[in-house]
Order: sequence, then C-alpha cells, then structure tokens
Amino acid sequence: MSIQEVQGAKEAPAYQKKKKTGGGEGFQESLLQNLRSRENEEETTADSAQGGKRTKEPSETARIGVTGSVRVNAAMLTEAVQTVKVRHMRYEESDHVEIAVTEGYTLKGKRLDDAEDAVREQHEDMTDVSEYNAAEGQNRSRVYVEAKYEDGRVEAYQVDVGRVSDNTDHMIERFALETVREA
Amino acid sequence: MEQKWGYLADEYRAMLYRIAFSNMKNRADAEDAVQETFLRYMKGDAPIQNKEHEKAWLIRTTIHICLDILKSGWYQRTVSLDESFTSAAKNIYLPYQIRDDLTLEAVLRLPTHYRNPIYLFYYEDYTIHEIAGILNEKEGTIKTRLRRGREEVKKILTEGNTERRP
Repeated sequence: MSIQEVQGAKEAPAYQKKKKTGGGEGFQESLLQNLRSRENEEETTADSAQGGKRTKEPSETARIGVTGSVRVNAAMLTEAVQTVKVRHMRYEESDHVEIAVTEGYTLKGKRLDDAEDAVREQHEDMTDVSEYNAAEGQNRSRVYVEAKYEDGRVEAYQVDVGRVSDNTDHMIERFALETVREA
Repeated sequence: MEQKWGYLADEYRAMLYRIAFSNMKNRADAEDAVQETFLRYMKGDAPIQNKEHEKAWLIRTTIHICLDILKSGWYQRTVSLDESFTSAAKNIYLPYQIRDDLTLEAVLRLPTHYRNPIYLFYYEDYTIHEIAGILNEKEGTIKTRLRRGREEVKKILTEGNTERRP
C-alpha cells in the first residue's frame, strides 16, 4: 500500500436509512442500496482526504464479509498521531507486536517502508539531493499502528515519529517509537 | 493427494499446531490432533465453501478433537512425561516476538471456554466475528468470554494460580 492510500483516509459513512422491504430479496436490495451510497460517499470524500490532512474519521473494512464503522478514540490523537484507514495487517507482516491481554488490546506496528519506495518513484528525476533526502527522511519516520480492542474495535493510526518525544507516555506514540527501534 | 497435503501443511500446520498445543499442552498430543484434523479434511468430511471457511473448519475441528482427547477416560488417567506444564508457552512458536511468557502461561491455564477465545483473539489475531464463526458462538458470548477471561488471567498472574485445568 502506498503512502497516498494510507493518507487517503475516508469518512465513516453515515448510517443509511433502509427502505422497508419484506423477505430475503428485500434485504439484499437494501444491502446493495447501502453499498452504493457508501461508495458514492467515499468517492466524494476522497479528494478532501488527500495530502495527509486529516479532515474526517476513517472507515474500517472488515477482513471477512462484514463492514463496520469504527469509533475513533479522540484521546489517542495528537500532533504526531493521525487516524488512517485500517489495513488489517497480520502479525507476520508487522515489525513490532504488543499483546496486552490484561489490558484488553493488541498493537501492531510497521514502519512505512513502502512509502519510501513511493517517494523514490515520485522523485526519480529529482536533482536536488537534499530535497530528496528530506522527502525520504520524512516518510522513514512514519509508522503505521493498528490497535485492536477487546470490545471489537479496530483503529489505525499513522504516527510521525519525528514529532514524538522520546519520553512520551502516550500509548500509540510510545509503541511507534518501539516499532522504529525494532524494525 | 500429495499436492493437497502439501498445501494443507504449508498453509495451516504451524497455526493449527499452536492452537492444538494451547489445548493439549504437550507436543505429541498436539501433533496427533493436527494430524487427525488433516485426515478428516482429506477424507472429505469438510463441506468447504471457500478459503476462509476452510480455515475456520480446520480450527474448529482441531479444537473439537483436542477437547475429545482431553475428555477421554484414557487421557485423564495419564500424565505427560515429555513436557512440564510450566514450560508450555515456550513450546508455542509464534511467528512474532512476545515479551511476556508469563501471561501466555496464564492464558494456557484458563478453562477451555475462556482459553480458546482469548488465545485466538490475542495470539492468532482473529476478530470477534471470526472467533464467533470458528467456535460457533454468538459475538456477544465471545466478547463476554474475552472480558471474563481477561479477569481470570489477572487473577492467575496476581495469585500465582498453578492448578491445571483441562
């Protein structure tokens, strides 16, 4: 996944009032109607979410079958921490994993190396080395963090580690720092 | 047939072994359970619809086989000689690093109805929806078991509960 996709956080679509229908066919029709309206909303919000500026909360797409909205914990957001779309990254794909059974959550972290590749492609013709290094360095310090909670919530964040204090006590920031060290 | 076997082994053996071990707490029984699962699959016992269904069927069958073995009179009259229970967590080779073997040990000491949801949720990274499908329970039931199981884990960690529970 490229950095553009990660930054392309989309709005959690509002609940669509279903048409009252009867029987299995009606349910299917209503489901398709909701899916269509959701797609439309995603298209209209895609542009506003570009450029890394977080304007709205992201949506979550479940790995199997169902789609559910995510309640984003506003307390988690800081200058360095932004919400992004959930990737459903597996443990095997992560650079760092924290399993907190007694606290009721798991954290998975990955340095955004694929973002570095994207920068390279975009700046292939870049002649100013310092400009290239700055662009690459900025992406190198970004970490994708996925949090899964006991109540079923899944939240994803992108952390700009360059803006995180070494002695932070913020759960997501601390974990992002650990991920950079582990990677 | 060999191709199918190779695919099953590559794709699922490690994960199913971990799940079987979390129930059986010894290597030989865990391997037997996984083998029995694959045999049932190969015999065509599984009405497989897609890959996710296949995975869920394999996990569910592994757990059921483990529980059947644990309930059997023969098993209850025997004592495993090859591994001590206190090192059970060391025999679960997770595909990532965990720093806290004590918590995993505590999870392995939980009663089955708490242990399987907690193990699948935290250590195999399944969602509540997936676990509900695998264990054939309602999502609400899984959430409750996760919450109560977590409280049990805390108790075990603070009280140093060493009693072995099937």
